[in-house]
Amino acid sequence: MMTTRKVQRDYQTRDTTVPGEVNWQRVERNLFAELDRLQEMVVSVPERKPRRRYWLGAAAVVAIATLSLLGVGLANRYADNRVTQIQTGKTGTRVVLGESVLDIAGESSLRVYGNDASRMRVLLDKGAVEIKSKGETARITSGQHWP
Amino acid sequence: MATPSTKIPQDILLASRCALGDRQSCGEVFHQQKNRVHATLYRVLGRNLDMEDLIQESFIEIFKSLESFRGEAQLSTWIDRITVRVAYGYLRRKKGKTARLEAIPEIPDHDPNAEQRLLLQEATRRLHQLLDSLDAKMRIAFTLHAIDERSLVEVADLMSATLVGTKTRVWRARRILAKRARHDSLLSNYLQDIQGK
Repeated sequence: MMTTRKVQRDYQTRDTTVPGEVNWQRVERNLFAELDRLQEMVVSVPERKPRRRYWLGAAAVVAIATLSLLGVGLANRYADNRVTQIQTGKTGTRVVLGESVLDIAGESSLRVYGNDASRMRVLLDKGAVEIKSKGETARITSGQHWP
Repeated sequence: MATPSTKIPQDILLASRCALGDRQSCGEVFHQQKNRVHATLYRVLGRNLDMEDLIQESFIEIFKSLESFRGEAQLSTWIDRITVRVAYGYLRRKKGKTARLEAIPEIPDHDPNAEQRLLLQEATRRLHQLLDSLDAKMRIAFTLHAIDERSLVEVADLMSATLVGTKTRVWRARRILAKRARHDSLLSNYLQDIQGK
């Protein structure tokens, strides 16, 4: 090959001290001894047990819990701010909001804040409403609020 | 002479056997490439007492890396790249430290070219002394191109550098060396000689 020829030519024309056979033998001996040593090191390194990453699981649980709480908080805040206006005509009506049942008399007007799951509040402006919730019955009059 | 198309698969075979830990194949790589590795290191670093350690280090790196040799280039080119990397690492490590210079062996009296060889050795010694003051990458680019007679494209490839960057390094090295060798006729003649080739 051309490169090999060049190296050989350079050895003749340039100052290159070619290592003697004894030197090469020493290099080869040391090289393979070093390779053996490295090989032994690789073999003797104890296999690392896979770390159980409890902390990672715990962190994930904490993160999920935090996000859930944050989500619920935001949802509640949003829900608390939501207002539903209900007005009835001459006849009354029954409205079911979550677990609460509102029996609204005719000619009534009321506002429902939030929803049943987040401490629903009902403000009756006019008329009458009967609210049944978890077996309880409440009756409020105009201008009152429940609970 | 083997053509590249037949040479490369053989290289891959040899490299893969060596990578798998076949001692005989590693020995074959060593015997095939030892002069090449030595020559590259010698061109870049000159004569020094760490040479045997550097050859050993180069081959350890070569054997470690053969696993990823896919035959895109010839094995010899792959080996050159690693050797250049080892030389660069050595220059970086020894920066600021005293170089371990090797004593110049005496030339027997009966050698007809004794005086010429002695002058050549002295010129080389002075050149490498000057090269010690150069930046490592500049030194490698210059020595591979001017002393080892590799093309700029090849040097750029070996150094994983751009062609323009390599040209600039060689040009700057030449300028610095020529300037510093102004008052040294032996060295300036030697520089002219290696740059004229």
